[in-house]
Amino acid sequence: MKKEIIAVFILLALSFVQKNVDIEDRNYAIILGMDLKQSGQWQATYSFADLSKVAQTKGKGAESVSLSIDGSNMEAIQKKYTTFQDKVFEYGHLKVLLIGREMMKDPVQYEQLIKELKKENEYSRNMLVFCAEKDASSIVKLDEKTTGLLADSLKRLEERQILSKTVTLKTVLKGYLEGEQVKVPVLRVYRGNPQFIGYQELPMKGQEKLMPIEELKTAQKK
Amino acid sequence: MFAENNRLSIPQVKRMFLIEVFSTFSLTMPAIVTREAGYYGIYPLLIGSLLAGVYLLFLLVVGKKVGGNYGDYLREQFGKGIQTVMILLYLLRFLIKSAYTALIFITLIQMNLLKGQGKIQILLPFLLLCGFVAYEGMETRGRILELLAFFIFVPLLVTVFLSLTEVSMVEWLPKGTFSWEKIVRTSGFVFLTYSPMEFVLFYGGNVSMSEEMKKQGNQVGRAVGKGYALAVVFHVVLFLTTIGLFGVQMTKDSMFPAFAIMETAKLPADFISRLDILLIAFWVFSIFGVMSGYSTYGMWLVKDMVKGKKKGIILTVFLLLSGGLTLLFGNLATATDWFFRYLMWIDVPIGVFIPLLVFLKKKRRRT
Repeated sequence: MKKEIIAVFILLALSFVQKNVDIEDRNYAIILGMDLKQSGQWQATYSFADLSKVAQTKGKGAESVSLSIDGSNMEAIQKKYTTFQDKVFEYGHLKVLLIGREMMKDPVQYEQLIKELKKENEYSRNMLVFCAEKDASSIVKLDEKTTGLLADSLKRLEERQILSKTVTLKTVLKGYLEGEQVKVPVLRVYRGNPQFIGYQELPMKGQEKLMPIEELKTAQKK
Repeated sequence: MFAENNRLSIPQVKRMFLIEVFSTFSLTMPAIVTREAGYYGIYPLLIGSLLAGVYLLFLLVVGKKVGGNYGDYLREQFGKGIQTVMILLYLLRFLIKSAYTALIFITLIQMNLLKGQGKIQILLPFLLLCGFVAYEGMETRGRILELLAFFIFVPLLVTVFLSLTEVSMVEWLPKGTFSWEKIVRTSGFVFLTYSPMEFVLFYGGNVSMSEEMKKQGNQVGRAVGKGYALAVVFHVVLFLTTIGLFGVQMTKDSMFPAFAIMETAKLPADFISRLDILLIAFWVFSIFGVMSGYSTYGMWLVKDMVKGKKKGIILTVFLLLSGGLTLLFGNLATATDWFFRYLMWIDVPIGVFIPLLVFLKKKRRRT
């Protein structure tokens, strides 16, 4: 009995010294948009689920806030985030990755992005990947205006409108590293909503020029 | 002080052995074999496993010769002086291996469940639990692992099954440059991962069998053989699934490549959208199984050297030293590099040499 008491005492003592971060003190990124600016800097636009407003929406769905941060790489961007945000940055729950056109046009920067996404296992291999017709940030920022989460709308859009095989981060990384061609759905902003307009062949290793967007016939008609 | 709570049934032996042999490197095996052998990873996996099968046969022959408690047998056959040296070598090896196993546990928890949490806070409850199981005796450990086997292998098989639709069989085909040197070296690494097989020497004398079972021949050998065969099958299935899903390039650079399988697998109707928690549970239980093995067998080896045979004291010292070593190890990537060198040049040679001495020495009759 004495030993059990000692064990319980040690476990209790440990519970007082552990570093717990409450859910309210975490910022959960749901969508990430990656753009390359003219200056050569990366711009990461995140859409975070606004947990403080969950109770106020009364079942109408969660709200979100977006934030753009510039930096030379993902590590620099995350460091920058911590300098002005007091909440813990959580990117393990990302559901969607949007890649801007300028980022894909630059083979060096695109390879660097792939390397960083591959290195960090925290980026869910299961997240959906889309390309933006122009910049990814404009699509990510739609999340603030839409009812409910944009990530859920994009998931529905992918299931109902895009008939090709689902493209996830796993498909993109594997395609780049193994030299397989990957076609990713392209989105643009149309009347305040994301619209699927066609497919983009992702650049392969050593490919200098980005292929044009394969537009859908229906999209062309519009 | 040592309660006779040390009887194991044949199914318990099979499941214990399977967990002990498969667990530590189960989720890192795809990375180990693809890192050097690349697209030819399946060959070293099979060759290394075959070598491990030969080693197991050798251990079973030695185990049969020993018959009962391994530590007692060493004293009877080699005298107290040599027995002490041998036992200390075993103890030191178990300490280092348990420290490395604990480091895998800490890394796993820090990466997936408790980010930013201190090592000690994660390690201490784990050590307490391992100590408790070892303290309660071999039978308790056998029963716990028998129960955990269900929670370890069912989620693993379910998730592998659910991700099969995503597997690309093209990735299984060998391609690129073939190098015998790399195949041989990687086969050696695979063989080293099977080193917990030596636990089979410590089962002797603790397995309860009816007279009828005894007449049916080497029941322990068969149970252990089945455990080994299952471990090889699980390794191959996990390897093929991992590279089929992610390709060799992504697999070889990941620390825990098989983990990502869980993200790919999805239960119907989004019951659980990400299944990685199942694999974390699988590995936590598995590592617990291996770690508790080192402390249990380590304790049994030195029981005669401690005055009054106090289990609590032996276990406390063992786990404190092991925990201390874990904290000294630093990060898992560097520790793994050193650990494999240690296994290759020190640990496994000793693990072969001592049983070889037992095998070669003519059995002295008990006086």
